[in-house]
Amino acid sequence: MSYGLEAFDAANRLAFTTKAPVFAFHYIGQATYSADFQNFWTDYTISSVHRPIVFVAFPNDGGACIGLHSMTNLGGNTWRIRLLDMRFSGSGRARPTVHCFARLSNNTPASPYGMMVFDASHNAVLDTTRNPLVLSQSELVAGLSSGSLTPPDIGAPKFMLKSMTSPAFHAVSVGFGDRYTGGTPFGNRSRYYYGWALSSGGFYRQWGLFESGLEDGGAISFAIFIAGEQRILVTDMARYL
Amino acid sequence: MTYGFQIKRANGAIQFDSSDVDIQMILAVDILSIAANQGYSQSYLDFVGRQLQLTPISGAETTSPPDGESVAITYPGGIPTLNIGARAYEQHFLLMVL
Repeated sequence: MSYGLEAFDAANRLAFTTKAPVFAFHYIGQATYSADFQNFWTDYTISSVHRPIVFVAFPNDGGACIGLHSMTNLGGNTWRIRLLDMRFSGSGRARPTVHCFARLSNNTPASPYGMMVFDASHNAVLDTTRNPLVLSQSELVAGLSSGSLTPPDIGAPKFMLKSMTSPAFHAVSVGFGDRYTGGTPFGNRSRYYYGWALSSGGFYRQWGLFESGLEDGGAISFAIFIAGEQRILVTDMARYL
Repeated sequence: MTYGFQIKRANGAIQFDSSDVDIQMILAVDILSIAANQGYSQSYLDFVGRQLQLTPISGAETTSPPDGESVAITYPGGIPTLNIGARAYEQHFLLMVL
């Protein structure tokens, strides 16, 4: 770099930089519960000038099958966040909490103390007065492609959480698989969604039956369960709240 | 800490510590909005030698689907180069520096 500021951590990773277009995310708040949708979906909304990124705090009881289904701009600064929450309906159990971060939308600090970093266009890219996002853990979860007739078992945790007070997870996208069991002339098709679960400090991919119905599957029994590789990012909400 | 710098909150809690490899400030290079049935290809000359990471930010999508929709970050000559294959629906990704 020919000017500006860069900082690196002990592993020589870029900690922050004034070089555009790099920017940091900052905490903008908790999305508000809006509505349940077709039993398995829950909608939340939040106001943000920029597209937010979502970190979900899971109830820590092992019963979840939770994931991010979609995020939609409803017009203006209003965003709808739709979660898969397969265990909530009728259960009375706790909902997940949806925390949102976004890039800075103004150049004014929130308090007179702290540090701000600007890019060459004089836009703030880091503002320590506005709770910049800091990762506590980053884990790569391998994908899978299974021909098994039953959904892959919850099995071993994909990773164990490091010690932190209030973990929240990014990139918890949902996926699905289909199972066909034989019958002549009709077979049964079942759709399974996968989400994620937190139990005793372990983070799991978890499958849940979404719907089951008749379809002409002939006498063939097979199933396809596919999930892509995903990197799960973890932050400790105790840093911001 | 013996080197680097720390940022603390008003209550004394450490917000950031450049010497702690377990605590990392996330730095986004871009938020990519990929329209339906379109792909994306870009080299990032400003980040030669650095590792980039892609994560989905808006739902049912993965960064490495095994069903023919390709996503790849390669480093020819140390230059991070991102290729996202065309997908059926509009999708959004966060590209960040690790």
